[in-house]
Amino acid sequence: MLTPFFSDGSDAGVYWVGFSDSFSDQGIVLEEWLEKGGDLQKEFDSVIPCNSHSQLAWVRVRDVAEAPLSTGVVDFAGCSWLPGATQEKMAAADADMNKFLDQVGITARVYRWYPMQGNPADGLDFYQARWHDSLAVKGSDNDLYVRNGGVQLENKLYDPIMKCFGGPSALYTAVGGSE
Amino acid sequence: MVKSALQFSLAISALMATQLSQADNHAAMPAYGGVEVYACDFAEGKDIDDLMKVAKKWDKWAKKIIQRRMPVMC
Repeated sequence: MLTPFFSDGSDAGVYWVGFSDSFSDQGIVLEEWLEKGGDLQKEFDSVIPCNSHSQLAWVRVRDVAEAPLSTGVVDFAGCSWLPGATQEKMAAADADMNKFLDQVGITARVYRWYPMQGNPADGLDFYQARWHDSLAVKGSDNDLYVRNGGVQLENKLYDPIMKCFGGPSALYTAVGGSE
Repeated sequence: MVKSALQFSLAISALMATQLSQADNHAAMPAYGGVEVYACDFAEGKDIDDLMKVAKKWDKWAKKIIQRRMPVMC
Protein backbone atom coordinates (compact mmCIF):
# COMPACT_ATOMS: atom_id res chain seq x y z
CA MET A 1 0.00 0.00 0.00
CA LEU A 2 1.30 3.46 -0.90
CA THR A 3 0.14 6.76 0.54
CA PRO A 4 1.36 10.04 -0.97
CA PHE A 5 3.95 11.97 1.03
CA PHE A 6 5.61 14.50 -1.28
CA SER A 7 2.84 15.25 -3.74
CA ASP A 8 1.60 18.02 -6.03
CA GLY A 9 -1.92 17.33 -4.83
CA SER A 10 -3.01 15.43 -7.91
CA ASP A 11 -2.42 12.00 -6.42
CA ALA A 12 -5.10 9.65 -5.16
CA GLY A 13 -5.47 9.28 -1.40
CA VAL A 14 -4.10 5.75 -1.35
CA TYR A 15 -2.70 3.26 -3.85
CA TRP A 16 -3.27 -0.43 -3.40
CA VAL A 17 -0.32 -2.09 -5.14
CA GLY A 18 0.03 -5.80 -5.80
CA PHE A 19 3.36 -7.35 -6.79
CA SER A 20 3.71 -10.74 -8.44
CA ASP A 21 6.81 -12.76 -9.21
CA SER A 22 5.50 -13.52 -12.68
CA PHE A 23 2.59 -12.67 -14.93
CA SER A 24 1.35 -16.22 -14.45
CA ASP A 25 1.06 -15.66 -10.72
CA GLN A 26 -0.58 -12.32 -11.32
CA GLY A 27 -3.09 -13.94 -13.65
CA ILE A 28 -3.97 -16.58 -11.05
CA VAL A 29 -4.57 -14.00 -8.34
CA LEU A 30 -6.67 -11.83 -10.65
CA GLU A 31 -8.74 -14.81 -11.75
CA GLU A 32 -9.34 -15.94 -8.17
CA TRP A 33 -10.25 -12.40 -7.18
CA LEU A 34 -12.79 -12.10 -9.99
CA GLU A 35 -14.36 -15.46 -9.16
CA LYS A 36 -14.27 -15.46 -5.37
CA GLY A 37 -13.26 -12.03 -4.10
CA GLY A 38 -16.67 -10.40 -4.37
CA ASP A 39 -17.40 -10.06 -0.66
CA LEU A 40 -13.97 -8.68 0.11
CA GLN A 41 -14.24 -6.36 -2.89
CA LYS A 42 -17.39 -4.87 -1.35
CA GLU A 43 -15.53 -4.29 1.90
CA PHE A 44 -12.69 -2.57 0.06
CA ASP A 45 -15.17 -0.45 -1.89
CA SER A 46 -16.80 0.72 1.33
CA VAL A 47 -13.43 1.94 2.68
CA ILE A 48 -11.39 2.93 -0.38
CA PRO A 49 -13.45 3.26 -3.57
CA CYS A 50 -11.01 3.14 -6.51
CA ASN A 51 -11.00 5.13 -9.73
CA SER A 52 -8.50 3.14 -11.74
CA HIS A 53 -6.90 -0.27 -11.98
CA SER A 54 -3.75 -0.63 -14.06
CA GLN A 55 -1.19 -3.26 -14.94
CA LEU A 56 2.55 -2.70 -15.20
CA ALA A 57 5.70 -4.78 -15.33
CA TRP A 58 8.46 -4.33 -12.80
CA VAL A 59 12.10 -4.88 -13.70
CA ARG A 60 14.79 -4.82 -11.05
CA VAL A 61 17.68 -2.44 -11.68
CA ARG A 62 19.29 -2.70 -8.27
CA ASP A 63 18.35 -4.33 -4.99
CA VAL A 64 21.07 -5.03 -2.48
CA ALA A 65 18.72 -6.20 0.27
CA GLU A 66 17.78 -9.81 0.84
CA ALA A 67 14.34 -9.26 2.31
CA PRO A 68 11.44 -7.22 0.99
CA LEU A 69 10.62 -3.99 2.75
CA SER A 70 7.87 -3.98 5.35
CA THR A 71 7.73 -0.19 5.44
CA GLY A 72 9.64 2.50 3.60
CA VAL A 73 9.58 5.40 1.19
CA VAL A 74 9.38 5.27 -2.59
CA ASP A 75 10.50 8.12 -4.85
CA PHE A 76 8.92 7.99 -8.29
CA ALA A 77 10.13 9.62 -11.49
CA GLY A 78 8.38 9.59 -14.84
CA CYS A 79 10.83 8.87 -17.66
CA SER A 80 10.93 8.93 -21.45
CA TRP A 81 13.53 7.66 -23.88
CA LEU A 82 15.44 10.21 -25.95
CA PRO A 83 16.12 9.73 -29.68
CA GLY A 84 19.08 7.42 -30.17
CA ALA A 85 18.61 5.66 -26.87
CA THR A 86 18.92 1.92 -26.83
CA GLN A 87 18.35 -0.63 -24.12
CA GLU A 88 22.00 -1.61 -24.39
CA LYS A 89 23.08 1.97 -23.60
CA MET A 90 20.65 1.99 -20.68
CA ALA A 91 22.01 -1.30 -19.33
CA ALA A 92 25.59 0.02 -19.56
CA ALA A 93 24.61 3.23 -17.75
CA ASP A 94 22.84 1.21 -15.06
CA ALA A 95 25.92 -0.93 -14.50
CA ASP A 96 28.07 2.18 -13.97
CA MET A 97 25.50 3.82 -11.70
CA ASN A 98 25.04 0.67 -9.62
CA LYS A 99 28.80 0.44 -9.17
CA PHE A 100 28.83 4.02 -7.89
CA LEU A 101 25.91 3.40 -5.51
CA ASP A 102 27.69 0.36 -4.11
CA GLN A 103 30.93 2.29 -3.67
CA VAL A 104 29.39 5.14 -1.69
CA GLY A 105 27.17 2.89 0.43
CA ILE A 106 23.75 3.88 -0.83
CA THR A 107 21.22 1.19 0.01
CA ALA A 108 18.30 2.35 -2.17
CA ARG A 109 16.59 -0.29 -4.29
CA VAL A 110 15.87 0.78 -7.86
CA TYR A 111 13.13 -0.63 -10.06
CA ARG A 112 11.51 0.38 -13.33
CA TRP A 113 7.82 -0.04 -13.90
CA TYR A 114 6.71 -0.34 -17.52
CA PRO A 115 3.08 0.57 -18.22
CA MET A 116 1.09 -2.22 -19.82
CA GLN A 117 -2.69 -1.91 -19.49
CA GLY A 118 -4.97 0.75 -18.08
CA ASN A 119 -2.36 3.44 -17.66
CA PRO A 120 -2.74 7.11 -18.60
CA ALA A 121 -1.63 8.04 -22.10
CA ASP A 122 0.82 10.59 -20.72
CA GLY A 123 3.65 9.71 -23.07
CA LEU A 124 5.90 8.30 -20.37
CA ASP A 125 7.86 5.21 -21.31
CA PHE A 126 8.40 4.01 -17.75
CA TYR A 127 8.38 4.98 -14.10
CA GLN A 128 11.53 4.72 -12.06
CA ALA A 129 10.97 3.80 -8.42
CA ARG A 130 13.69 4.25 -5.84
CA TRP A 131 12.91 2.53 -2.55
CA HIS A 132 14.40 3.54 0.81
CA ASP A 133 14.00 1.80 4.15
CA SER A 134 12.79 4.99 5.86
CA LEU A 135 12.65 8.76 5.53
CA ALA A 136 15.90 8.98 7.50
CA VAL A 137 17.61 6.55 5.13
CA LYS A 138 16.22 8.44 2.13
CA GLY A 139 17.84 11.57 3.58
CA SER A 140 21.21 9.95 4.15
CA ASP A 141 21.09 8.26 0.71
CA ASN A 142 20.45 11.66 -0.87
CA ASP A 143 23.36 13.24 1.02
CA LEU A 144 25.71 10.43 -0.01
CA TYR A 145 24.54 10.84 -3.60
CA VAL A 146 25.08 14.60 -3.73
CA ARG A 147 28.35 14.73 -1.80
CA ASN A 148 29.97 11.98 -3.84
CA GLY A 149 29.13 13.35 -7.27
CA GLY A 150 26.03 11.29 -7.98
CA VAL A 151 24.23 14.14 -9.68
CA GLN A 152 27.12 14.75 -12.08
CA LEU A 153 27.45 11.05 -12.80
CA GLU A 154 23.71 10.75 -13.39
CA ASN A 155 23.81 13.63 -15.86
CA LYS A 156 26.74 12.08 -17.69
CA LEU A 157 25.26 8.58 -17.86
CA TYR A 158 21.58 9.23 -18.41
CA ASP A 159 21.18 12.65 -20.03
CA PRO A 160 22.03 11.26 -23.50
CA ILE A 161 19.44 8.51 -23.31
CA MET A 162 16.48 9.51 -21.18
CA LYS A 163 14.66 12.36 -19.56
CA CYS A 164 13.09 11.94 -16.14
CA PHE A 165 10.92 14.24 -14.09
CA GLY A 166 10.81 13.85 -10.35
CA GLY A 167 7.39 12.71 -9.30
CA PRO A 168 5.77 12.07 -5.96
CA SER A 169 7.17 10.23 -2.99
CA ALA A 170 4.97 7.77 -1.19
CA LEU A 171 5.09 5.95 2.11
CA TYR A 172 5.00 2.20 1.69
CA THR A 173 3.44 -0.30 4.07
CA ALA A 174 3.41 -4.02 3.32
CA VAL A 175 0.02 -5.50 4.12
CA GLY A 176 0.74 -9.14 3.41
CA GLY A 177 -0.33 -11.44 0.64
CA SER A 178 2.93 -13.36 0.41
CA GLU A 179 4.47 -16.33 2.17
CA MET B 1 -0.30 -1.17 -25.52
CA VAL B 2 1.81 -2.76 -28.25
CA LYS B 3 4.45 -0.08 -27.78
CA SER B 4 4.55 -0.59 -24.02
CA ALA B 5 4.76 -4.35 -24.30
CA LEU B 6 7.54 -3.99 -26.83
CA GLN B 7 9.48 -1.63 -24.59
CA PHE B 8 9.18 -4.04 -21.69
CA SER B 9 10.31 -6.89 -23.91
CA LEU B 10 13.30 -4.87 -25.11
CA ALA B 11 14.22 -3.99 -21.54
CA ILE B 12 14.22 -7.66 -20.59
CA SER B 13 16.31 -8.54 -23.65
CA ALA B 14 18.91 -5.88 -22.95
CA LEU B 15 19.13 -6.81 -19.29
CA MET B 16 19.53 -10.44 -20.22
CA ALA B 17 22.32 -9.56 -22.64
CA THR B 18 24.10 -7.53 -19.97
CA GLN B 19 23.64 -10.09 -17.25
CA LEU B 20 24.72 -12.90 -19.53
CA SER B 21 27.98 -11.18 -20.28
CA GLN B 22 28.48 -10.30 -16.61
CA ALA B 23 27.67 -13.82 -15.46
CA ASP B 24 30.21 -15.51 -17.66
CA ASN B 25 27.58 -17.03 -19.91
CA HIS B 26 25.51 -18.52 -17.11
CA ALA B 27 21.96 -17.84 -18.24
CA ALA B 28 20.37 -15.31 -15.91
CA MET B 29 16.89 -14.02 -16.37
CA PRO B 30 16.56 -10.50 -15.02
CA ALA B 31 14.20 -10.19 -12.12
CA TYR B 32 10.85 -9.03 -13.38
CA GLY B 33 7.22 -9.49 -12.55
CA GLY B 34 3.79 -7.97 -12.56
CA VAL B 35 2.42 -4.96 -10.77
CA GLU B 36 -1.21 -4.00 -10.46
CA VAL B 37 -2.18 -0.63 -9.06
CA TYR B 38 -5.54 0.54 -7.77
CA ALA B 39 -5.77 4.33 -7.32
CA CYS B 40 -8.27 4.98 -4.56
CA ASP B 41 -9.55 7.52 -2.05
CA PHE B 42 -10.80 7.00 1.44
CA ALA B 43 -14.56 6.99 1.73
CA GLU B 44 -15.97 9.69 3.98
CA GLY B 45 -15.40 8.80 7.62
CA LYS B 46 -12.96 6.01 6.81
CA ASP B 47 -9.24 6.01 7.52
CA ILE B 48 -6.16 3.85 7.48
CA ASP B 49 -7.34 1.79 10.47
CA ASP B 50 -10.46 0.75 8.55
CA LEU B 51 -8.31 -0.18 5.57
CA MET B 52 -5.95 -2.27 7.67
CA LYS B 53 -8.89 -4.30 8.98
CA VAL B 54 -9.91 -5.19 5.42
CA ALA B 55 -6.27 -5.71 4.46
CA LYS B 56 -5.93 -8.31 7.21
CA LYS B 57 -8.81 -10.29 5.73
CA TRP B 58 -7.30 -9.90 2.26
CA ASP B 59 -3.95 -11.21 3.53
CA LYS B 60 -5.62 -14.41 4.76
CA TRP B 61 -7.46 -14.77 1.44
CA ALA B 62 -4.26 -14.22 -0.57
CA LYS B 63 -2.25 -16.72 1.45
CA LYS B 64 -4.86 -19.39 0.81
CA ILE B 65 -4.61 -18.75 -2.93
CA ILE B 66 -0.82 -18.95 -2.80
CA GLN B 67 -0.91 -22.25 -0.91
CA ARG B 68 -3.48 -23.75 -3.23
CA ARG B 69 -2.38 -22.54 -6.64
CA MET B 70 1.23 -21.38 -6.26
CA PRO B 71 2.77 -23.97 -3.94
CA VAL B 72 6.25 -23.24 -5.23
CA MET B 73 6.14 -19.92 -3.35
CA CYS B 74 5.41 -21.53 0.04
